[in-house]
Amino acid sequence: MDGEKMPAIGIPRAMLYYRYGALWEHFFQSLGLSTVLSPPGSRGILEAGTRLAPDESCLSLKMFMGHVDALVGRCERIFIPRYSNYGYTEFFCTRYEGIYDQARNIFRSSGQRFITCNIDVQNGSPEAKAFEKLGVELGFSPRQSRHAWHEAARALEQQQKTAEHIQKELAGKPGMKVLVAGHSYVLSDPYLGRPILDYLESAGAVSLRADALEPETARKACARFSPTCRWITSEEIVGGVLLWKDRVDGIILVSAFPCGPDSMTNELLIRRLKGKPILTLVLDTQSGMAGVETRIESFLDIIRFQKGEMV
Amino acid sequence: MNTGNAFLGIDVGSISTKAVIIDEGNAILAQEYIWTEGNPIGAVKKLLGLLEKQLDRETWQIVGVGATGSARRLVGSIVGATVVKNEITAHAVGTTTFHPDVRTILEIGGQDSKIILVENGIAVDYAMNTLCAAGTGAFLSSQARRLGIEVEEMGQYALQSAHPTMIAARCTVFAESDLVHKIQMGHPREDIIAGVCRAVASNYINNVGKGKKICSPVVFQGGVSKNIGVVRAFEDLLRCPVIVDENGHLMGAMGAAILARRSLKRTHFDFSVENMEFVTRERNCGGCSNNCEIICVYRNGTLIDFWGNRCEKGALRADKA
Amino acid sequence: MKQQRKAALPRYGEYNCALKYIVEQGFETRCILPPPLSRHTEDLGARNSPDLVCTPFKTTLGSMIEALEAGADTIIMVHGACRLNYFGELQEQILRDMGYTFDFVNLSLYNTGKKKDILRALKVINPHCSMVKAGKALYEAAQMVEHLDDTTAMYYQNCGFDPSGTYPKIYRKFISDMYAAQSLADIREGYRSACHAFADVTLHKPADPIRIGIIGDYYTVMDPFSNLEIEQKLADMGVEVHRLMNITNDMLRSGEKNKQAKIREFSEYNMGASSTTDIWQAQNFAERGFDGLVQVKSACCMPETDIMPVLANLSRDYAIPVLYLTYDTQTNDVGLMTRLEAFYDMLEMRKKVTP
Repeated sequence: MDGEKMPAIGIPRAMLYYRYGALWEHFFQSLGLSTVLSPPGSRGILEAGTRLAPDESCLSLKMFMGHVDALVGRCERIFIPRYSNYGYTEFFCTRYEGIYDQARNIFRSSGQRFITCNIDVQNGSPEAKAFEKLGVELGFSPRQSRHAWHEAARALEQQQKTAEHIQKELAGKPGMKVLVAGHSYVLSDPYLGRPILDYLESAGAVSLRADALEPETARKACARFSPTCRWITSEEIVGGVLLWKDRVDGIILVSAFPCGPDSMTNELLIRRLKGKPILTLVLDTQSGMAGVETRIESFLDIIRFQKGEMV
Repeated sequence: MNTGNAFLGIDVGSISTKAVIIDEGNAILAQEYIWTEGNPIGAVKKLLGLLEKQLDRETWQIVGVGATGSARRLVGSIVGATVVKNEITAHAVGTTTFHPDVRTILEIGGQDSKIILVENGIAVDYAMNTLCAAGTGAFLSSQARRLGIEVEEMGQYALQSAHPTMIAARCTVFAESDLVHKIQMGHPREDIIAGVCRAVASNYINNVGKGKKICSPVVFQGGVSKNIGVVRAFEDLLRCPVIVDENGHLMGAMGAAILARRSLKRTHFDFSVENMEFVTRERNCGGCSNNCEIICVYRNGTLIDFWGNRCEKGALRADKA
Repeated sequence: MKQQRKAALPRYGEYNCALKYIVEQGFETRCILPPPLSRHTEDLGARNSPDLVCTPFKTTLGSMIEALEAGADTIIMVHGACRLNYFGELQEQILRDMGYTFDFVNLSLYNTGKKKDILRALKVINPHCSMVKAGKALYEAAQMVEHLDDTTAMYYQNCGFDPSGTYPKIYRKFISDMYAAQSLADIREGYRSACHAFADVTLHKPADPIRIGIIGDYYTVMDPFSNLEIEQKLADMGVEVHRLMNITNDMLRSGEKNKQAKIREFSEYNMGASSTTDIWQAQNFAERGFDGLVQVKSACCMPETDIMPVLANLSRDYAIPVLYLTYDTQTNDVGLMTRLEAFYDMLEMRKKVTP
């Protein structure tokens, strides 16, 4: 490449980016590395991903591969961390374990370089160590890398606190409140989950998010409710549902087709939570909000009927 | 006086039944195409009647019979086939005979879709749709019905569209809700039809064609290849010409006939089966816990074939039936 | 406290003979064998399961229902490295919602990585059982599993070349011997006699038969009912069928070392559950000059779906065709046969051109 220099690190704006993105970005920034984020999720990105990812994989993975595609040739290396586990009984969906190698295989002929960060406590690679190794690989000293990780971890914590604070304020608002539960990367994606939140707002409902809670608190709540649920992100969602459920009028479970952990945890939630209206929405490649709006609208009507606001 | 050897190939699919008779040089002596209408035995009998009229039986004697398609086993036993082959192989053989330089065969039928990659006239890789029937002929027919047009007209409508509507076709259920929504939103009909055709093609490439290197020349076959809208969509997506053979629908039957020719097994086929009575019965064996469903085929009341049993107990049951 | 517990585990290939052995000989508890898996099992399971869960969940749930109907009062469920870890909790909930009363021993609950896990679970099943006996039975059941896997491998590699039809009889006799075994001597005797009987059969195997390697998800690839007897179907076409994925190779024998390093080019890290083993096996088959690979996976199986791009690259690099099969409760024999026959034809034609 002559002329302008490419950014050092490309970050796909998908999957765990919506959970740990603040950590990653701050880590690279405090090392002084330039980063580029793929454009916001869109139909075009999803279509590109659909062409690349295995047909039977989940919508979120397809979206992810579309984001990777958007970064190919536009940065030195694409950063795809591998989140495996935080210990024997705390692990991630297998999809995040394989995602780095899967991308390497899908984009093998593109010549693009990738870089990972392996978070796998069971095999002796906890987060701090993994990021230290990443920093060293990028040419920094262990000390610099450790420092960057500490900064980044603080930034993530701060971000989570802010999110929880916003939720608490929302929960105090008057009017009908709906809890939307789903993976952050589904709910925050402008193409997938955002339209649902926007629609709720336009329909006059306040939407709270199950995934915006301090993670430890949420996971403790989940452990009491479902002891063998050990996917970290699912625990956070289930815990969020449990902690917010009494302050909302209804719950919408949003899932990307065919999400493995959701297929089970949502079933368990429906079976164990009685007395609260629950709507399940499974998103697939259908464009826009076809059918979804109708279902949410009638769900809100049900809540209003139950509250006696409609006769 | 019989002078030449001829070979019959029959391809019985879920929607249509096709048959050809060829000579030693693969020249077509007779051909026919009718709807299966859920009755493969009836369809084959009718088809044989039609072929019999076309064939000069003074000159030709059928010495080999090949059966293929989803009802190949049943039809094979009825007509006394010398070769019973699956439709993928039959298609590959038929197509490579007529298009020796073909590299990729796309096929979309009523329920199935498949891709066959060919190198030097030999199939080297293939794939078939894995899960649902979305993006197959059955999907197109149901969408045509919904739009109030004949499935045969879809292609012409699609060609009139300048801005195909985006339709999701990954899963039939999702596609249908998407389609209804688009209709309600007032998209022009030709754009929706073009969108459906495009969805079929892109769904095919994303599912069956995933990870396959699609090289030119590309031949497109199966019932859906008659839809010019889908052909154009493939050409757009693959950025290469897509060949549709006018005899494309016969390739399975051709392949079966060619395989019968290549095989060493010979028979003396006459058209008498047209007038015989065939009955199939499904029996639950019950001989062991497998409780296999055994399909029994009877000709004029006598058992001529059966299958479906997993052990020899089933064979005894079938005999007693 | 109940006097005599009647415990059951859902069906899983023929491994129930070993599970039964552990429960009966080790835990000194009665073992109810659920009926062999059937369409009925699958229907029962699918009807009561969430739609998008993988097929093994549905099949094992169906088998649990059949076990309860057959009189079991205790269900034992195992855990694993993927969604399997969560099967038990959800299945218990579903069964309770259906109105069944039973004890549920969810081994996943006792799976915390500590040495005492197994003891804690054992104490729940039978507080009076002897640890020595349990340990001995576990060891002996492991022997049974090794013999079972060896015999099964031998069977599918050769049964396609036995015109006398003796092979299936020997295999079936062996399986029923294992279910009947009461002691290590029984297990060894059953294995010995199967080996001798196999050795006596004259095989008609060509010098260079078509060899197909089978890989796939932990349940579907090892359970003949779930994979619609794919190994038998291929063997019947005259194929030497190899499957390395079994309990012996994956859990009992240390086997190949450093698999991850050997497949580094394709996968640097474990891609989830049995992915590393799977990819290594695929590469191993390819390096040994096999004619084709078949990937057997349940619908919605995540790790198996994730390795598909890896298999595609491997297939390209080694010029070995891969047949990808996805099984759900709708998959039928007819569709499978068409795919297998076509795959066989293709391999046969390739072999003729490039010997």
